[in-house]
Amino acid sequence: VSRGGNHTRRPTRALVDALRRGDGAAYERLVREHTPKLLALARRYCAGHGDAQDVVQDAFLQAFRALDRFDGRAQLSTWLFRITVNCALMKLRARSRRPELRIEELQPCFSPDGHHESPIAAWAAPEDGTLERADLCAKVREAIAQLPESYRTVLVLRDLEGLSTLEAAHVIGENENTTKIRLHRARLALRTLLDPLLREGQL
Amino acid sequence: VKDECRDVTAFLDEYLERSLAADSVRVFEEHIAECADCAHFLASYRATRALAGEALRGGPAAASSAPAPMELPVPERLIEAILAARRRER
Repeated sequence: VSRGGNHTRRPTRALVDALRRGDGAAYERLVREHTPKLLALARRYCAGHGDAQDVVQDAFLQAFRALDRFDGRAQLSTWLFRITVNCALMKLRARSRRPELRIEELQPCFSPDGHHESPIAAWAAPEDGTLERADLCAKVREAIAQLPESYRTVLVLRDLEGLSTLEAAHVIGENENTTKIRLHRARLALRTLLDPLLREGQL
Repeated sequence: VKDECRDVTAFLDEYLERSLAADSVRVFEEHIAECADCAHFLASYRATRALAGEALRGGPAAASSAPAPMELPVPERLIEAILAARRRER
């Protein structure tokens, strides 16, 4: 997902103004332009079941409701992409019927002298291009979907959109240090969730 | 960075992003060289970062011989449904 330069800012501003005025043609332009990419993304998240179109529709409706909060810092396409990812993760979680987990329970444990409480196993990840790798990615998405929202959001901003910690902090309205800690805890939690899948000898 | 697993774990991101001071990097790397648990933890943490990015981008890009999702057509009725839902919401 690219964050474009100044040359794309002005048309975005004009389009957003038209959308805020309720200009039907502007809505149609937006939906026609962005649906192909968003649907392709949703289809990858929803592989094997037919929820992708629901995800895209949910995402657009959420975006329309949130237009007043779109601050123009991100590109419209990036913003829509982010909302679609979130809707797709929520759909995954609903489908798996797993609850949101508590972040504290997923942090590594240390003994009083500061050492890892239990032995840490080496991981063996399946190679690129294999079906096992595709299966693993689907499981990673399910695991991310189980993280509490504020942690999930930071992961999406950093690891999907590639924002810096400072940029991510601006988006979520927190300071840089809080954002940094949240990202670290999110990654530690995700590592805990993936550990049983990736320990050497499990595959 | 103190020479213990808890502290090494706390500074994993800084280490991977090369934002640790040189003397901290030295303590960090000396600990990792001596501690198999932390070496495994570092490798798995690094793998977690990479997997999160790949999975969130909708990866893997081309795992099977099935046609890429990108090539599937967009149903016109989806576009109509989104626009109709918006009109109902106003």
